[in-house]
Amino acid sequence: MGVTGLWKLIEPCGKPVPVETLEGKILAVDISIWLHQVVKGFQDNKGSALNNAHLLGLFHRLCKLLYYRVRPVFIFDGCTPQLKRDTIARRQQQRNKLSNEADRIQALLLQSLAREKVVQQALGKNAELLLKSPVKRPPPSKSKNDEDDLFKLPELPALAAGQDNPDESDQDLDYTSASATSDSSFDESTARHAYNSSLQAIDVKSQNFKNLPADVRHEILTDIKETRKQSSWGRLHELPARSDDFCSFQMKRLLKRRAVQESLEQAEQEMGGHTLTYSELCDFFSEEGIVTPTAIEQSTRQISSDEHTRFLLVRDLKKKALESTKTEMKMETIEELPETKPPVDEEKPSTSSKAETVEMGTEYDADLAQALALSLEESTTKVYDEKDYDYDSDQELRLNRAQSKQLRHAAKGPARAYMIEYGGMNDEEVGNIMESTQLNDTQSLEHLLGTTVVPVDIANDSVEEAKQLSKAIEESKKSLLEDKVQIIDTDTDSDLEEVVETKASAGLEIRLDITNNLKPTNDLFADIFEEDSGKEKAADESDDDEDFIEVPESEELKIIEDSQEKPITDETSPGTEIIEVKESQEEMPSEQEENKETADTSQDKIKPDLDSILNDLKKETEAVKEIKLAVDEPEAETKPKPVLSSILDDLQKEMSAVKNIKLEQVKLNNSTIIEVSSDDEAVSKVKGNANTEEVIELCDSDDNQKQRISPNKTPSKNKSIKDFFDTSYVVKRTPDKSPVADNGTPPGTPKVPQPFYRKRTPKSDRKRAAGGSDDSDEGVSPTKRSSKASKSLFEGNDPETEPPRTVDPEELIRDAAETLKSQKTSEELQSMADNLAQERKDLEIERNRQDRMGMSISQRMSTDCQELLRLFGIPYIVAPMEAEAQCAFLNATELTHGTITDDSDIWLFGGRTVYKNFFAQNKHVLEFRAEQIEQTFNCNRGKLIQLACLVGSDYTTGIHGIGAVTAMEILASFSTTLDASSPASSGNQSVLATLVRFRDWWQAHKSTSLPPGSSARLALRKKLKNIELHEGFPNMAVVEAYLDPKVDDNRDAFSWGSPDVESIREFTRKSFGWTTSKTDDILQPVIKKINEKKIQGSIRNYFTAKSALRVQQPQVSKRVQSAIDKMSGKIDAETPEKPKKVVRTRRAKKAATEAESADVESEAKPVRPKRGKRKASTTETPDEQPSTSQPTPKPGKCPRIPDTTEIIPQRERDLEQMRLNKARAAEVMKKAAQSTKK
Amino acid sequence: MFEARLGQATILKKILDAIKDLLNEATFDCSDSGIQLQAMDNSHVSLVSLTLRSDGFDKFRCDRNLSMGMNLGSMAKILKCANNEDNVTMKAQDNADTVTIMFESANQEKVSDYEMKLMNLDQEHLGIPETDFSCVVRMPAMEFARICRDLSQFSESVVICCTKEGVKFSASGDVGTANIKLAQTGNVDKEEESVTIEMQEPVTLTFACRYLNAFTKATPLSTQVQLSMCADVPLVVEYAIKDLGHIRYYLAPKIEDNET
Repeated sequence: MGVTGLWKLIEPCGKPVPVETLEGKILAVDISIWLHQVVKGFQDNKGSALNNAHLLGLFHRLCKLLYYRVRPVFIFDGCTPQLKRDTIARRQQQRNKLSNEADRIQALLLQSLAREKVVQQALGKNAELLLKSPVKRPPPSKSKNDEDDLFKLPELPALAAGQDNPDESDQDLDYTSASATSDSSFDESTARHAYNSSLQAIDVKSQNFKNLPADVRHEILTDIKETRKQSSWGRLHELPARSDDFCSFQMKRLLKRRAVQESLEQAEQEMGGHTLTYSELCDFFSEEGIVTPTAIEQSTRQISSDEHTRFLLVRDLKKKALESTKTEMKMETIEELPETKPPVDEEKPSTSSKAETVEMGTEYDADLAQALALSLEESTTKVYDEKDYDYDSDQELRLNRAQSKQLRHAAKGPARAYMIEYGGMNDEEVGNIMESTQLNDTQSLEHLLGTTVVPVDIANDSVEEAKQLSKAIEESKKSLLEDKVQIIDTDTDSDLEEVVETKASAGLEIRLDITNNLKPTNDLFADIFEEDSGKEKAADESDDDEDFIEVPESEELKIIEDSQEKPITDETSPGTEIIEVKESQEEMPSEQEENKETADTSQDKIKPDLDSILNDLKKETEAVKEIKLAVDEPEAETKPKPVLSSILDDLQKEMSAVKNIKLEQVKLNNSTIIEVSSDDEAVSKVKGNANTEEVIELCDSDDNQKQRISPNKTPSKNKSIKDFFDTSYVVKRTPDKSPVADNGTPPGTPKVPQPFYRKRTPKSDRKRAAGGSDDSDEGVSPTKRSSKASKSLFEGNDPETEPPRTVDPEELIRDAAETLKSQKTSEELQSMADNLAQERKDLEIERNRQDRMGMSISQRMSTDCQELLRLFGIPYIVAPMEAEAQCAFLNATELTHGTITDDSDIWLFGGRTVYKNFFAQNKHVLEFRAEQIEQTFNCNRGKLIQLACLVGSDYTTGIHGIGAVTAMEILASFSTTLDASSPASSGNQSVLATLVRFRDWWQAHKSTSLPPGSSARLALRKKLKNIELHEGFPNMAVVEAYLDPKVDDNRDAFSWGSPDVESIREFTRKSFGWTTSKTDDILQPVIKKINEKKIQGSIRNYFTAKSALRVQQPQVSKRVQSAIDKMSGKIDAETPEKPKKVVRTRRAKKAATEAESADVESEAKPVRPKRGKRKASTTETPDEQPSTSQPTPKPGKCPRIPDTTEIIPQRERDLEQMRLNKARAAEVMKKAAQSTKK
Repeated sequence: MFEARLGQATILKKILDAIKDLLNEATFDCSDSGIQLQAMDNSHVSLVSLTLRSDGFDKFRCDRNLSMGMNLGSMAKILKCANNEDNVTMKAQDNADTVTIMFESANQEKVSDYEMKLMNLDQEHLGIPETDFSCVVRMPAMEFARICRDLSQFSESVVICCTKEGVKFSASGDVGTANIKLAQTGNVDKEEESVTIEMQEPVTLTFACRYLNAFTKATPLSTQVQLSMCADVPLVVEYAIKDLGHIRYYLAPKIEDNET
């Protein structure tokens, strides 16, 4: 705003004035700067921007103005001058940066929230473990209910599958129905629970939340409301520990409830009740008895066939699309869109798949839904959470959105992600991509994702990402379906092999999954499992080789797919060995067992292919890792390698302590975190999509779990364990990689989380890497590092899991919880929770601050303000251009007595009297007068414009490296006496002349070693050696814009009305929600003041200043003072011919001239100290005499004469003294010599 | 060299009390004729003019004219250290940046001196024109203080209406209205309790209570106060300081706001 550094320069001219003295004055107010101040400055107690802050600010300030009986005239900015546009653009950029920053902090906040929650849960869990209280049990038990449900559910799908096998479309239907059932059941129980728990964290007052569409808000709010009615046993841990705090706790809850109710009503209003809300649906369901798990059991069929259940499903899955459609058909079509797109991108869309795209879409909808439900369940089972806190840092990594996006990929393994998303479609590409740098990969990936993104409200990046996620899932599913189709055709292992060969490993995995899908439908359970087992076996076998790393990945893939498909299979095969849909881990073991029993033969065939594929994958992943590290290191400014290594060491220690648990925890953390974050995201419209994210995360965790479990069950336990470890390792690694990729790909990607990423990723990277390498180091056998690592891990940390072998996941969890518990005391946990809470608070405040800063002034704000001004009866002008210019014009034409502004531009427009800091709480109002500035600084308007051209202002960027003081010196050096003596000649040309001279001089001297002209210029040149004059430096347009601004030159006097109190009350009620009494509290004193008929006159009106006002000279710095003096002509402008002079001489000269000047009174002060100093220095060093006299060759001009004459006697005395001393010394020596002689 | 000595510190204390509410800082202009102080209050509504004649001091010496800018708050603090009966001496070198204030107990047993930093203040002397006042009211200072205090409870401003019969102080506000009328006292037995009015023509002026109340801080200095009024001219409230000089307050009247 304004001219850089000008205020600071002229600060000494400001005279503090009591506000009272402004009574009755007509003052123009530049309101635009107010609005900026107010919008950015007003905040609620959490630091977020207030609603209607501009009006509130205006209201208060108006009241202040009116109370002091100032007669304000408000000036609004009109259009923006062209010159200012680019400045504004720059500011806009800044704002964007700020709001991006706000987004980033928001992401941080989410993370912090998530962590806090995790820790809380860990705390709670701890307590539970200790107490064995049932409090925390509900989630697991619920999942069990779901299991039961699943057992019952499958009947219908199985039937359908049996019947519809031949007919694929029918299959689709079945799938959908199955998915619907599973969805509904999950939704109602576990998913819902998770959702509800995170609902509490939603801030219904937040801006983000308000930005949500009304219906979404309404849903969330109803949900929140619903949760109130539920028992709070699950939230016992939220109760304050101290009974004293309970009432405030209650109060807080009450307030929150009220807030929810209010926003709910608001949302309802906005909606107009056009959509079926979730609560309505719930009611509907409860009427049908569906809501409770038991009810679900009873009425699963109905649900499955019910449209509304589909709605629910959609809600979690892809809310928007499904909401809009709500019918299967529509769903299918929507699905088709993304599906069709990917094929285009991918070269090898299987023909068969295309034909079946529609069906597939529905199918994987079902899959997705199931997976979702599964994941949700998992997340809700808080068993895992306890362990999570150890890995908060890890979680942090994943939390931010970009990461969550990456996480998706990560979930599937680095290579896997590619393969699934594109690779699944085309093998060659996969290979190529893998070999190509990761950056490219990620870029392309993102590009692909971007293309696939359906233009559903992309409110923010998270939405986008979520969408991409879902899309990616869809794609993978699609590929699965394609594979499936093929498999359907073949239905044999050999076919599978072929497929594998033709396709990449991803394809393989996918195929396997597909087969799984197919088989359930065909009731070919055994085959499916065989295949699965085959895969796993292959993996196991490959474990022996170094390839096993890849194997785990593939396993993961497969497992993920399996987990997604499992629900289906479960449903279709009620009688099978699959125990729990929710706990896929258990399923996996069982499957694996089956697999082992049945099919080892198929493995052999597949194996080679797998191995090769795995090798490729491994290489790629390694390459990726390396790249990632390389990228990270340069990018992470603060974390050089040494730091990383130390971090790694720490991490290693940690790893060894908790390795396997950690892995699980990490996964679990991810899921929980995502849970939380998803809620927040829901706030930001992404709810449904976020869930899909969760799904993936959960899948990851599932994978890990499964793998872990599977090891136990499978004969090759160690291997499987290794696999588990490796997979987890891989999974962890992937997120890092993707962030790196993000960093590498500047465009396109949503950048908000990046900084954060950069910071954290290296660490985590290291961690992972450390974990891996560490493990390998610890490992027994040097060849197979991973296997070793996993072994050591297992041996060290998970003794319990290994021995039993048949350990079920819950046990594992318990173990983990116990280890956690043993590692961290409850106090530690508590402190952790506290820290997190604090962090969250800080983040919140910071985010809100950034939010505020990012706000911009809208036209609406102006019109709002104008309305308020009308109510107060205050005149306002919308300036044709700059408000400042208009203010200056009004001031110059005596229409106003001055201007209230903090914008120093006003001086350049010719303002005469300016009141600054009028509304600053802790500063005096400063009155600046143009005459005073002119007198003090010898700076008329033209000079100020020149100054602005040098230092930069709204209209020009100025010259980098020149500050206000330097600019003063330049002006002093280059302005001619003509300029100085005739301030009236502030024509454009004369204003420019000085600058042109400066430019010419600069261009002539910058490169050559020409004599700079004078000592002052020499000093200047030194000072300015780094500046760069830009093209067309003295810009005529800038000067003209200041000298001849476009203003409304209507000279009619202003008139003021009286405030319309009634309307103001109404206005405040509407805008601020104030009661009449509150408004009156503020307004009454003002009105009273206004209505006073008499005004206090000033004594100055009666008495005139008698003596010449002996005003203190404003204290300015020496540099400025010398420049001023020079400019004013007190010192002759040094001509180029003059011999070099030191700066000091200038000062001395000034002193001389001052001494000579008539007004000794005013100038004596600054002079005196200088002279004194000079004296002192000379007495100390008499030798200086010659040198000091040197620069004063011309007595006539020499400023030093007074000084020297004064000084000389002393020096004489000194010299005399010295002589005496010498003589004395000589005498002493002589005497001594004589005495020695004697 | 400047040196001024007063027999009783209490007078100086009272003077300080009389001005320190209105002024945060002020410049004492010392010349061989005495000490003068003139300053406007912060909001430039009132003006304080203090005159202490040199012959009123026990000892007064001022070789060169001297302006001492003082923080009156600090000055008052220092004076608090003095006993009422102490001799007080102010001393300053020419062009010094400190002033020394010395208190001596009556029996010379205790001598304390305080040095205070001087300030460089904007100095703006207002020329106060000679005015032929329409009304000059003399009344007991205590009475005036009482009236101002009472009326300020009703309104921010008080209307002073001076007629031949007497002087009327009135205020009206939310609570209601208050009127206090003082008639000229017939007997002049006790001069300090008498109310005298010299009137050329009746005057009605409005003043802010806040300032009047500040003026009455000078009440301890004098038994009588003199109010001089003239239409559209500041009110002058004068307290005489016996044998030493006077302190005058000028207060700009409230005027009709003819713009609304």
